[in-house]
Amino acid sequence: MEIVKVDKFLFFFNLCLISIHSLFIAFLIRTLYPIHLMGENLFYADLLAKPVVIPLWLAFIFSNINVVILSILSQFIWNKRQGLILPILYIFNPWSTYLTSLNSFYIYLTSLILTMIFGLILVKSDYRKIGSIVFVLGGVLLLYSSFVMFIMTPLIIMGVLILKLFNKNDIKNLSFWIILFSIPLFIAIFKNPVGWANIYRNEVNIYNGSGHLSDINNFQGQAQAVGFKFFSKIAENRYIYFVKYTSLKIIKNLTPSTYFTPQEKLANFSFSPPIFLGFLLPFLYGVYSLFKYSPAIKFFGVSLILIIPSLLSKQFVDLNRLVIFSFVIFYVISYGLIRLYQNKKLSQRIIFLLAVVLVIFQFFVTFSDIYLREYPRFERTFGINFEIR
Amino acid sequence: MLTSIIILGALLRFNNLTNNPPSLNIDEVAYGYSAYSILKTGKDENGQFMPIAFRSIGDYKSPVLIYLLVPSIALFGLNEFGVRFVTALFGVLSIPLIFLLIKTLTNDSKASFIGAALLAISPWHIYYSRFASDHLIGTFFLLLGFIFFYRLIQGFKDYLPAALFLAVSMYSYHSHRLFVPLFIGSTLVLNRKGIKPSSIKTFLIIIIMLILPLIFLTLFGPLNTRAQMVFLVQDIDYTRYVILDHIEKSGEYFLLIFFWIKRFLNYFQVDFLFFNGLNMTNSNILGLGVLHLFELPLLIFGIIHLIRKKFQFRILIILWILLGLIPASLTNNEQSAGRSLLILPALIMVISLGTIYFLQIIRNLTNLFVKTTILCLFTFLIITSLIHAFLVFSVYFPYQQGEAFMEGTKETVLYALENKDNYREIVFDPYRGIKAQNIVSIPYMYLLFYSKYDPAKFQSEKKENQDGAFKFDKFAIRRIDWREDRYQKGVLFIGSPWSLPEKDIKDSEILQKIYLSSGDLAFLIVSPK
Repeated sequence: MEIVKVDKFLFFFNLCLISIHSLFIAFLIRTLYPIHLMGENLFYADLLAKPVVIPLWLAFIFSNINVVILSILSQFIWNKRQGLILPILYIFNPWSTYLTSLNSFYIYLTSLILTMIFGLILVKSDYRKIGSIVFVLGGVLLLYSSFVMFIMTPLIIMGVLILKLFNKNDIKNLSFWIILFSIPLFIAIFKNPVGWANIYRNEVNIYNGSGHLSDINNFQGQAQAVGFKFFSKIAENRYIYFVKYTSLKIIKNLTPSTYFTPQEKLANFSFSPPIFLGFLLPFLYGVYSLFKYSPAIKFFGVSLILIIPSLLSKQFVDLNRLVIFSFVIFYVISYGLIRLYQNKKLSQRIIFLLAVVLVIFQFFVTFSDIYLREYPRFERTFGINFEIR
Repeated sequence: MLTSIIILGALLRFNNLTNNPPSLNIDEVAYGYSAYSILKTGKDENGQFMPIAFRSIGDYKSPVLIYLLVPSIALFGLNEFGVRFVTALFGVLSIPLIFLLIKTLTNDSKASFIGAALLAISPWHIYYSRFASDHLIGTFFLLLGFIFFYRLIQGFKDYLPAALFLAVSMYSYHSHRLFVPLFIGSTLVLNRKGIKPSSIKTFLIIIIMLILPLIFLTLFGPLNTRAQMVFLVQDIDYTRYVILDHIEKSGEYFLLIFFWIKRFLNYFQVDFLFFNGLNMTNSNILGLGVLHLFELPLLIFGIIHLIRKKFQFRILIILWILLGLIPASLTNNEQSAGRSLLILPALIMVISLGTIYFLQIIRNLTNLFVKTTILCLFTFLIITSLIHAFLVFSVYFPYQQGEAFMEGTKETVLYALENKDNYREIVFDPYRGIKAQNIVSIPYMYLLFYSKYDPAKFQSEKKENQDGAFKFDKFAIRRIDWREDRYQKGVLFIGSPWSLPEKDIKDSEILQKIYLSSGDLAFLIVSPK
């Protein structure tokens, strides 16, 4: 079996990655305990009014599953040596490690999304049966787990179909099975419309920020008072306001400084960047190369759907929800690093070296900062309420 | 065509100049009175003869704007128009300059006209043209200096004007003192092969000679204090949130590096650029960015065009933008539109190229439906952006930001001056604010300004400065404590409702109430009976 072939080196490599990842998570739990993110109920259980929350130990296991799936996927995409970069990026950057240690629900969802991708790749590599089972399992669990994923999964499948990334019939068959296994979920939704509405209100907060409508009314009122009612109706009506607001949210979710600086705070208090700054240049080079050389740009396009949960949140950028998009960013960085390394130009070699040096430097600075200051920083931000909403 | 663009630019900068912004801010009043003092006595209000750095309220002001204001104040008098005329004029003059810059760099008339038009309607540029601002004056001289500097690199013998104007820009504003040397150095290193060493040597000798006094003042003089005052380590976010008030010393400077990079990258945030960078309203979404929203796609097209077409000047523009943000990002503000204004010409240049590229793409589209749809959507975007900008400038900004421009202080001062003879002392509380008493105004400067107080007298007269109170003539600037001050008969008190609580004052004691344009009560004028 090409993809899941048992390679001694890769086996030990993955074992090492899991050990290091676990060590990092343990370090963070030791430093930050008892700080944690508020648990999210599984969608289906919530509909049945029997709340089930993913415990920390399970988040820990799922995070390590992500490492293994990413490692296998990257071996499929690149050759043996190059394929090592993607899982290394995943474990060495603070983003997923940090959120795992705080028991993020979205780490679990990331596992399910990666499982679906893994299944699709197995199907494409002629391991139809096992690939189909893996894909359908991932898809069904996603639908049952989260309301937002219930909206997003069909969108992802549609995107894959429209861009013809995989065989049309394969996708149709797989979707059929997912729908079939989701019948109990649909029944639960129809039986409990009030629960559904409550879950919707809790999960979709995109326009819940205080004072959106009052802003529009105030501005229109001020314009009207000086005789510019007509102009303000054209330029400051609620439709334009919400288009602007949504565009701002989308662009902020795609701005590099969101990912490479502590501009948006991890868990709303941290000074650690989600991804080390040194990876910014390889990322930009990766985006440039993807546009210029790679057919993978289509996958990149579809993957943008993964920012939707963050868009639906109350904040401009929700790094907790956005973690399901993290592997895409790591993929682009890996691609950029590989291209930079392969390039024989001196300038690009220098960029590569600079990136590596900066990352090593920031790694030590960040981890010592977490050890010395993150807990007091949390106390300064939230006091002694250890549950982050 | 250029003339019409200049006329449009002039209209947008001069129309209702004295009333919008709604009041002179502290810096404008200080600039105005310093210039008035120079005009009357040749010395600033502190008695310094023709200084290079003007000691002002809490900092040192750059000299260029103040000296430029002298003829304006001589001509129009010490009033709002006299103070704001110079910046508005230099704002208008920048329009033909940007035309010249783009023409020199690209030799493309279309791009040059587009650039001039974009600068004429630029909210960033209009905003800083409408009040006395050294940011704009500095950027004007930088633009002028850059044109000659570029010609110098191309082999023309323009070393004298290039050195002169770049040096003047360094004297004009603090950011330029760091930017100009960095920019010249990097450009010369990157273009070393194509440059005549003799011209450059002459240029460097002249510019170093011209800025020697500035170097001395920055390294050993008062300007050093200013630099330390606004440096990033003093940033509240950094001290309170990042290093937690030195809770643990280790690694602080490493964190500072990353904090600085974060600040630097903040200037590329879309909300600063297109939504609320100018802080002219209280809303994040309905504010005004430093660029119009319709310029967003044009900027992206410009960047793509710049990368693809390998223009000779490409590296200069990139350096201008990247190095131009270094001084602003090193200071203790989240994002400062004023300190980063110097990159505006480079951005306008990129957007102009983007517009040309965008029009090319549209022209080459064969599908009429797609072509029409894109053009309609883009026209709609332009129209709504411009209407929104108009409303922000003419309605929301004066309504919502009066306090930032010290609205109401003029009225209190005029009242005090009119009734000066009826009281033995007039007390101003310098602390004001609607939501909290968090703004320190400098009423004595307004008193000097609106009374056209004789600078010679002010320089020579005794000023008491005790226990945080500042006294001259009949005026005292100090905090008001109404529990004690209520018993002082024959004294006029002027302060915000925080220091003069309405509920504790008899109606007959309140002589006047002064409101902001927003309708909030800003000041009470009270005399105990």
